[in-house]
Amino acid sequence: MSDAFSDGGLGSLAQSARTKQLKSARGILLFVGILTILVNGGMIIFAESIVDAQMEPELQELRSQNKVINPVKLKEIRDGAVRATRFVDGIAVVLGFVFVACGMLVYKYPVAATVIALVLYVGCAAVYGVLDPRTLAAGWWMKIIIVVCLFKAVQAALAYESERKSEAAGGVLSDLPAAPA
Amino acid sequence: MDDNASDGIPAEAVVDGFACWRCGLNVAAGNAACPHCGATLRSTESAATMSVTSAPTSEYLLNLLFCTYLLLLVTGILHAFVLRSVIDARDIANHTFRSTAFTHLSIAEGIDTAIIAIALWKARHLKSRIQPSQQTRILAWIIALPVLAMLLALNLGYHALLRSLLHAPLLTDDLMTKFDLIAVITICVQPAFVEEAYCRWFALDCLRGPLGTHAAVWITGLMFAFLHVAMLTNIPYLIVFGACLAYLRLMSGTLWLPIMLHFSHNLIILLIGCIGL
Repeated sequence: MSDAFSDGGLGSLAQSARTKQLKSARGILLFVGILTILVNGGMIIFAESIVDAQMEPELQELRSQNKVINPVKLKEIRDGAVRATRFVDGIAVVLGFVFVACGMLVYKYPVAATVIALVLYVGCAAVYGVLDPRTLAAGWWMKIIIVVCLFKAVQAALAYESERKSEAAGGVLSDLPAAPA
Repeated sequence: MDDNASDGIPAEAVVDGFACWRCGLNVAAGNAACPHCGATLRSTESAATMSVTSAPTSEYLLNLLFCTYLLLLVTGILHAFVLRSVIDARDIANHTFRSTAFTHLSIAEGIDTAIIAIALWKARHLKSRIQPSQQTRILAWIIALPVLAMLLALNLGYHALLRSLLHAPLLTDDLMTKFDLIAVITICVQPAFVEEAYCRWFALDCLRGPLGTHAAVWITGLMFAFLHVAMLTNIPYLIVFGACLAYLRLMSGTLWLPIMLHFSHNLIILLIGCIGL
């Protein structure tokens, strides 16, 4: 066996590259998680003013057409909109905590943390895109970068985990390459 | 994965072996269990016939799984937008709404079927090695009916709750008003076969190796729910539904049980919708 194999030189190099990818995945997950918590937490706090700001142009248009607005009905609609906004943003805050948890657990459970993060991130982007199509276009390049990084992190996590298992199992077979596709 | 391959393999290290069905690492022929992940190997004979070159790696399968998932989500989003435009444009007296909605649903399901068929073809070497004991198999078939009843009750209760909270009928209420061939095909047949093949066979088997049983079950449940993005309100229920079917698939060791349950579930919901309960 060559020195590179016996002292784990090449293996260590590959493993350190994977660790770097996991580290960047961790950074991304923490960034996305904290940002999601802050933005949506803020939207929960300011839900009433956000709903008012969105309703005001429509109300002004109705007033300009000399239409009478029923204040009781308006309050009902406004309260419903505030509740819905808080509910959707509340779910987003929970998701933010899930991303942060995935980021914190990425070294302990690399494959599980990265796969959950990828499935959730893409799924939630789709759900929020259907709820409000503007969110799909907003920061699309950033979303693509995040998805690509998470995708690469899953691959790195898989290799990292395999290497870790091989090291734990020891023996000559751990040096064999994995079966190609 | 193939760092060592590019650097050359020491001659003494090359022995007869095969890739473990669960973790994808190499195992020497003759082993009854994988030394890396502890997975029970079906038999040394069948394992040995899985040549190292023909077995797809976990990495390849996961790449395929996530690419397919992304494509299916894109189809789901487009379907949701089309459906919304149909709803926005509809007139209360317009009786063509249902047929238009079903036409769009058929197209979306056709695209989904094509994407999943390609993925399944590419993963055709994926061997499902779920081997529950005879007792567990029998138990799975016995509990299938109570589970179906429980899921139906949960579905009806959840939708009744949604109707009372939203003070409005749901989209599915408008679609499930008539029992005809297109409704049976798009609501019962296609989802039962195609979604089960993708979520309960391909995705579950891909994820079970690297993630373990319970994590794989719930993640496939999550994926299954997100794939129904066009019907947003159903997502929480579908996570539970997907996970239950995945557990039944693992217990029964066959895909037929989840297919039958999914078909029966959707058929009963369709019938209830038509009767107007």
